[in-house]
Amino acid sequence: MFDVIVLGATFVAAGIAKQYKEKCLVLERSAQAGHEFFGALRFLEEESSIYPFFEGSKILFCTELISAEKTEDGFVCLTHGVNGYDSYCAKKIIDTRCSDEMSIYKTFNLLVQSPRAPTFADSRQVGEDRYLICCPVSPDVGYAQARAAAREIIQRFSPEQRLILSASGFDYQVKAGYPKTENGIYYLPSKAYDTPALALAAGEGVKL
Amino acid sequence: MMYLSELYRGEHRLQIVSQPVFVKEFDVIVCGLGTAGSLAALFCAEDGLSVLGIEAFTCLGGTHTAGGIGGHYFGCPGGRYEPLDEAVRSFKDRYTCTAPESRKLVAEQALLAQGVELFYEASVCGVFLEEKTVVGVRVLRHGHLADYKAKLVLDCTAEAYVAAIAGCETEFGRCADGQAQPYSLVSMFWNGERHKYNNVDFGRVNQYDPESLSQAILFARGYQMTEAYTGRSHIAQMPLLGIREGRRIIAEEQVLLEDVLADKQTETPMFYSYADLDKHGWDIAFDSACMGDWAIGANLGAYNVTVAVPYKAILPKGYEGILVPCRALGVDRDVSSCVRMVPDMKKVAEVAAQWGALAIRQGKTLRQVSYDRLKAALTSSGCLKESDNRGYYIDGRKNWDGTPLVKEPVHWITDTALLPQGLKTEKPGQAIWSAGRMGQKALPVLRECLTAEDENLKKHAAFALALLGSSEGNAILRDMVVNRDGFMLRDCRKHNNLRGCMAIYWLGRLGDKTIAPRLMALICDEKEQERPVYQNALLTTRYKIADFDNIYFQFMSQAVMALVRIGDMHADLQAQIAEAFRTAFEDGSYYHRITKRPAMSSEGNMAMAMKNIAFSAMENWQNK
Repeated sequence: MFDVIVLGATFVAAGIAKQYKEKCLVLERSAQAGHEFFGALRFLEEESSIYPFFEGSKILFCTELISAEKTEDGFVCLTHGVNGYDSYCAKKIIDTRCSDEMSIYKTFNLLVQSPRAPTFADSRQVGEDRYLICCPVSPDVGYAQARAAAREIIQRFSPEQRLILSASGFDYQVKAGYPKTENGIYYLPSKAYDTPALALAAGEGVKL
Repeated sequence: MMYLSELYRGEHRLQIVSQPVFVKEFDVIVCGLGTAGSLAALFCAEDGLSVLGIEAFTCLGGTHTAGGIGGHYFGCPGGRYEPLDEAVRSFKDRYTCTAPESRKLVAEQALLAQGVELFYEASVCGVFLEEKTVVGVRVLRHGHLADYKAKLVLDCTAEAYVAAIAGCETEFGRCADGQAQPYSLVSMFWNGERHKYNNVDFGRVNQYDPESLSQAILFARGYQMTEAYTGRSHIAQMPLLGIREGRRIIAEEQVLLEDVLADKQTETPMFYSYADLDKHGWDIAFDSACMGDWAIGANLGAYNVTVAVPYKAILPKGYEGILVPCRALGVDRDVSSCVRMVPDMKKVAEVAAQWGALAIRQGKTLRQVSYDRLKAALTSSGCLKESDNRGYYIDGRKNWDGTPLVKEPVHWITDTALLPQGLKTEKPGQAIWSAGRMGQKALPVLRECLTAEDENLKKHAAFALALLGSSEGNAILRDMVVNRDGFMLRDCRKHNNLRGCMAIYWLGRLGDKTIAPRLMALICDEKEQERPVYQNALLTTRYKIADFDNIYFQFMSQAVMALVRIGDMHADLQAQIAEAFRTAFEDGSYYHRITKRPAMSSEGNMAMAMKNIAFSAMENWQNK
């Protein structure tokens, strides 16, 4: 039994894994840690820095939680990963992911090469001739719809502007009211913090 | 009666489903929307079928988008995918820095326009079967399970994942140690002028073992690749790992390298594959004997071959209602690296869509669909062209020395009298292989060559004799080993072999007992690396890999495999060879002589594999 199962290999999870090591199991749906920032094309220069924090803890990528059943000792979690179903027990669950329901502002981001600031409401310079455009979408919008909207923006580019990368994850601003505990699960979304460093510190501050 | 088949920790669980409740029924469910899956979904929808596309990631295109691989090498163009490719190119030219970004947007729009229903961040975790007919799938999406019915399921996961859940027979990895090709991670960088992708290879991963996969991700993504980024600025790591090899199904018709090299072709091709048999590693010593004869013994590893791929290679043996149109199709491991080129995966998508549409429209099973009908459709689109059946070719951009490569077809020698002329050159591969194709009738000429003054001629004749199973040239082969013959043959644009290593290979294949003590000395001697062959300037340039003594590794790895083969054939030598393996590998010092890289790197993995293969042979001998 693990002391804690952490949902999402986020920066908050990295902070928790760093202190609880083998007592901690981290479950991540994607094949990337820090996806809440990097998938949204934020703070990309720090990409490889998150991985050492998970050394010594157990982390499973490409693994998704299906259900968490409350028991006397804690939880039994049913998961699905690359070898099918599996189950793990833990005293506690901390969910560090962000979902549409938690969000007050959701965007689909584009990294764009441009000699000048794009004429788009939410864009910021992230390098020489490089800008991040954050396209707001409604909370219920999925990836296909978000890309369709992004495509319309891209097709308004001037000839010297080019899309470098589109996001592989949504960017969120989290509602007030977190962290909180619900049905015994502690919700501490990493995206409640503005930067990876702040999220990491929040994880380091978690006491079981 | 309907069953639900699922995997629990890799083991099958089968349960009877008396009253299945399907959320919705589709004509076709496409599982995995990568290179093949995205096109298969598009073509099925274009043919008027209702289609659900299920993708684990957040976009379609797989390696071609989220994996950061924009281009491709080899394969035969032609088929229904071409208009979409043209649209991707045109969008890229105007709006995006790279082709993968363009494909993400353009291909998705094409699927949506055809009414394909898309489930992103979704995985198949169960398969519904009636006897051995697949009739639906259980899907995990956003934490919820739901069941969907289909007339046809296309497993385009690249891993035969759905087929494996359904219980279809599959294979994975090389025989020697079960390992696959190295995996890679692609990153995007800015070089001051352009945004480009950089592909770095790591070690091996078993992507079906959650811990192995997770460790590989931690290692690759956390690795500081300073040497790859000098003078460049990092933009982003690609979200998808570059896993080059996965499970392969056992299909109704299987392609084997042995048959390909014997010019045995299927009578029912769906298209022709065209590429070399590159395994993306320098540890070719650990591949199969068939592959070894071609790539090491005849030094033809970078020659291109044509493979006629049978349409039934995507139909799992004994099953209905499912096709596996992706790299997991029914080919052996040796051929698999050839039949996985991007054009192949685009074509296989077309085949599956055509085949499925014919079956569904006519109300037939997959097996009942006439090949002639399918062939007519594939021929009309340009997917299947007899002109693609071009045999063996020397192809590529540059020769081994950087000079421009002249592309030309390979013409095997058929007149025994012409063999010596080919054997005496620095490119004897074609003559060696030609001798093998001639069979016994080449023996007299080759025997004569053994007594020639010309060094190339007699040495290369010894290789050809070995290919024919004759040990008449073994004395010459042994001399090459003893003298560590470091002459590099020149047949190929890359991965040319050293003559001494080829000699070790053939002596191992022939089970030569006499050479065994020399090989044991080679692997055990800590001063082996001080020999001149390992300092040779040409070789150290051609075989250069940072922090990895590749020439030493070539001799060592060939010696280990030769000793394993000799031990397999001569039980009386097993104890002695096992002792040599212990001396060579037990204290781990050999590792540091080969590489300074960590064990999980591609280089470290090759060094580790040598020890693992040696020790597993010892274990087999003991068990027997």
